Amino acid sequence: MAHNIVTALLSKCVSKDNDSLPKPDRSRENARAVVQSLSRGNLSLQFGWYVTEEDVEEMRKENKAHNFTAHAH
Amino acid sequence: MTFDHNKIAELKQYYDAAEATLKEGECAQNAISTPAINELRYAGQHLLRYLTGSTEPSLEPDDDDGDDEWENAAKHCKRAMFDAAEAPVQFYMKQIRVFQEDYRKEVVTDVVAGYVKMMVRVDAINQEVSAIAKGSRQKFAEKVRNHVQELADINSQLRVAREELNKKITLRKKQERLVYLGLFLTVVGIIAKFL
Repeated sequence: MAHNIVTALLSKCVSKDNDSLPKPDRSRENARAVVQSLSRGNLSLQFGWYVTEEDVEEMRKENKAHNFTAHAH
Repeated sequence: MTFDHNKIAELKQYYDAAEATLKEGECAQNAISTPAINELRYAGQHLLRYLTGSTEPSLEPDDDDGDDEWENAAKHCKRAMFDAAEAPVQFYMKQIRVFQEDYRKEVVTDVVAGYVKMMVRVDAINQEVSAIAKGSRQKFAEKVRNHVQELADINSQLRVAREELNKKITLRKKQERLVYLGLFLTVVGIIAKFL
């Protein structure tokens, strides 16, 4: 019982600390904005026109599952 | 510190080929491949380690395979070429998929000559590229690079065909509307007769 109370109190303290810190924005949009701000001399990067490993992996999976001949009519 | 000028020249060829592929892919997709850029970063690191005779452990986790710095730099250049070519290859195949989805109800073979043959070829490329294991990408870089132009040509023919197919769809919808109007008027006529 005492252990549960202590754990609950500690978790509240931890979550309070975490709430005060801004959560990093790990969205793809933000990643693109960061790359844009850091890139110099490369127009594609500056305009946010780049393909990540995630993008290629997504296309790889979808293309692998598709039968082009079966859909040809 | 001495180094082999011939090896540097050879490495420059690999680097230039990777950079050219990266540039072609950038124009094809209107987007640059960051995996390829990363590989060239690693290639640069290994080149400098080769030139300075550095013996510090590599920061790149995949490099613990006993290759020397020059070999690792060459490997990363070839991987860069693969990554730079694979991105537009996957992109073009995605565009072709989108085309097939858009015109799934239309007879594309009436408009695009050799359409089925084209798709058989796309399937063959798709299977070949999918079968390449992550660890052996540098060996197939040149092969994948050769597929980019072929897929670009197919994609460009399908893009041109869109206009013709769209005209067919518009004409078919007009004809369908006339048929429905005719049926409606017939039904109205029959009802009016009995009233």
